[in-house]
Amino acid sequence: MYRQIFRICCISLWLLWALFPVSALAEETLRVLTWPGYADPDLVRLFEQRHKVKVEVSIVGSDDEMWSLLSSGQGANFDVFAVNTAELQRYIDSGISVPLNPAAIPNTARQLARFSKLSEIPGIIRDGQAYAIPYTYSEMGLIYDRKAFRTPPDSFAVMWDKRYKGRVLMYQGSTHNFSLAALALGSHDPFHIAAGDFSRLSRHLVELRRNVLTFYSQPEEATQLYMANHAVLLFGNYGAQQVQLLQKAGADIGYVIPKEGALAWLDCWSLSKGARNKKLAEDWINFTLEVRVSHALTERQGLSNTLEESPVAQNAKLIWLQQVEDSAKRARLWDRIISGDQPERF
Amino acid sequence: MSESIQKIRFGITFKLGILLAVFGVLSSGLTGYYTYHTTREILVNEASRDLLQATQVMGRRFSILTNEAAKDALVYTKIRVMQDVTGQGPAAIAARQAVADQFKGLMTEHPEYFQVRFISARNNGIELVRVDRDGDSIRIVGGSDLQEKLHYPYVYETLGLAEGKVHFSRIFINREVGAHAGLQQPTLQVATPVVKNGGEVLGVIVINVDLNHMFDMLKADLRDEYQIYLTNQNGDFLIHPDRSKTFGFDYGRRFLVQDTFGPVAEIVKGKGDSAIVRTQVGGSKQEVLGGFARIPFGDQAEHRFVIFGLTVRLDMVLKGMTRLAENSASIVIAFSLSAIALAVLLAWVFVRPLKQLVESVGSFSRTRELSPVRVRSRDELGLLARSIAQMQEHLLAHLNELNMRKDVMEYRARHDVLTGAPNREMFFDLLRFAISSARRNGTQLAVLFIDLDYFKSINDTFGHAAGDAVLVAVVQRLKSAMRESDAVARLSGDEFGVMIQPAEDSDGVAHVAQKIIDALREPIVYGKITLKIGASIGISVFSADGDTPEELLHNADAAMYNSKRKGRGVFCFYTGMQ
Repeated sequence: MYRQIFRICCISLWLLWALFPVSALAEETLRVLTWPGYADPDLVRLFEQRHKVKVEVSIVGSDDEMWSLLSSGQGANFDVFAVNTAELQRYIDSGISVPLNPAAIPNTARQLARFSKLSEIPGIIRDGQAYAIPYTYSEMGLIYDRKAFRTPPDSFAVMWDKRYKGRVLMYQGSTHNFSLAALALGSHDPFHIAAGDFSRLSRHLVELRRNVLTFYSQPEEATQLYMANHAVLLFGNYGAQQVQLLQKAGADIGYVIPKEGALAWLDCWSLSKGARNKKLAEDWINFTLEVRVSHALTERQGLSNTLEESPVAQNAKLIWLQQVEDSAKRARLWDRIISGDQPERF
Repeated sequence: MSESIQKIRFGITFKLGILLAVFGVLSSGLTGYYTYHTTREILVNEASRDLLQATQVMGRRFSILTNEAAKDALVYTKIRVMQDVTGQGPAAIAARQAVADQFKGLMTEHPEYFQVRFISARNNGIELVRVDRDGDSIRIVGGSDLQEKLHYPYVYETLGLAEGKVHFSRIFINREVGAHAGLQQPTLQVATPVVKNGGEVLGVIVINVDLNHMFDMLKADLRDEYQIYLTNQNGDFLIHPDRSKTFGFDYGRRFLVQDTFGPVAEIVKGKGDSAIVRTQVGGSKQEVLGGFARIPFGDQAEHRFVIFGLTVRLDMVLKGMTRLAENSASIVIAFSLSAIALAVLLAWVFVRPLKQLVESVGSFSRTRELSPVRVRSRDELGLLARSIAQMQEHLLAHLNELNMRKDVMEYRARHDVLTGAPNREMFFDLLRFAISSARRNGTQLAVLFIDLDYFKSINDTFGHAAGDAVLVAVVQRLKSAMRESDAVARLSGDEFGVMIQPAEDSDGVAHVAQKIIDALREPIVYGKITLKIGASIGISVFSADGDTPEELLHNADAAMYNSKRKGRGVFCFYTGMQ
């Protein structure tokens, strides 16, 4: 087997060598740190040919992994990286993320207004300078049984509705659940809960607990629970991905973004402090905002891109995730909520 | 020949010895090695079977323990006081107190139980009776510490079960805040519904089983060198010697048994009930042997199972092999040494007769004498020895004949066939020898050249036979006329040479010459006829008339012609001026 791998490596190396003439070795290299599916090889090759450069793509699987790769060299090992707006804050704080020039990325003009107006996206602008360009996102909408609902539910409040007691599935996560509870109670800043509001929100979450069948962690688990227990409502922490899974399992479901708006993560491109050629890195960002490249993201990965309106998110309110006021506190409270503490104890 | 014998550097003794020794050492070494190897395999296979059996026994005990927990839960659904536990009045409070005391008793009896509870089907699954283990004590939890549990599968699923059925949970890490000793511990839950006489479901009895305690119990019978593993149906480790490898799925990582122990994948896939593994674990080169078995538990219809595994380091299994290896090694060494000794002995026994033969042949070629061959064996070597002796005899006979022939030839080459007198060649040799001795001793010698008179006419008149008879007679008379030290030779036809030595003076020589003339003047009787001849003699003397045989004979010849001229029948000394 190792021999086979070795052979494949040799052939790949040979192909690389054959595709790029010797002079290419002397060419400039762009170092991209990103997530699976964000920089597919065929698209990377297109960029290389167009700009006569070499692109090194490194793939990470978690926020922590990305942090360790970037923070260990203070960003010196990469030119451009993809990060969500909440995570972006610590990169700006530590100086690893550096400002970029949106004017140098003309394709931002193609983006939907909600993405091109950087000042309206929390966390991207600091001290008047832009640190990132949105690339892809996923929202956390509400999945419902189309037989049980003549008209799609329009508010997250439906999850508290006693008529659906025992038929609601909720995600098992402290940070998002508190944000959701805050949204449901009409908050406009679910990421910054005032100290005095916690007991009210906790009791609200106890009410939610009393109404749900149970809590899930993984999308597959949610699908299995939904199918086995005749659930009618499901908080889609994994968004469109869960819609796909459930439809594959044969569920007759709809997917909505309620009027409160949906929590959503937004991955952006940001420049690293170690960027050797800022212009080239900005060219890369510009390239990913071409229709062909952005559309591939949606087609291949099922993720929403920033050029085309997704049918669900159209006109809907998306609330980009931000760092929360105190995630440890949310976790402590949530552990007691899910363990079954009675509301009087909050 | 003797040189070529010495040239043998590595004799056959050496080669044969080495060959036999190598053969002996190799055969004993290989036998030892294969015995060791086979024994090792047998030991490993036996150990694997034992491990698997131990695993299965442990698994059955695990099933029995979980079933006992299930039985305990079922027993309490039947007690009278359970029926009153859900109410509000004082009777209900008393009933809850009574049930709590009973649960406490159960937990005292079973140290592997973390928690025994009665959870109501109403009020969001509020706990009505809850007894927790908390350190060394057992605590009855009440009031606002009681929690609502309806959203947990062990409650809502059990509520849906028929009376007498039992719900077995997954094995999980208990994260329910307030669970006391059971918090953050691997737990198995056993739950069963409590049904009122009328058929209404009142709630569930739940027993939380301390998995680690259970495994400590199971492990108690095992020796320390065994490692114990438990995984769920997917192969995720629940028990592992390295705690950090357990419940990986709980925090987003997977540590799967099939990644460490490949063959166990078959159990996970449902293709087998057991697997034997032999692999290296961790970064170390340490090889381990293990048995893994599928252990069903809970309700059979649900096909729930866990995978049990036991491993042990291979070197522990093979501890006895070290002694076996040592024994094998010493046996191999002993056998090798005796093989070498035997080889030397064999080589000696085989080569000694050969050496004797070589010696015998050698001495034969040196001395040309037959020496007895002392190889008397009746085998090929004996035959060889006898053949060589026979060959030597033949050779010797041939040699003797050849020598004889040579002597005859040599005699013929130096003697006149007719008369037996030395010929001219030999006369020269005799002269040469005599000259050198005369020169040494300072003596003189004389050479007489004798030519027969009237011989030609006898040959012509009476035939060659008569001539031959005359020549024979002449030689006889010459010999009798002379001393022992003198020599007579037939030089050619009717010419004869005589050497006198030492010749003291010319008178002595003259006397001999006269004696010869007289002797040859006597008639020779040949059959019925009488033949008459005479002799003319020329004399030369060493060293006065020459110091080489040729010179002396030549001068004597010259003197002989002088005699012929004087009228035959006389002798003349060489005078130098003829």
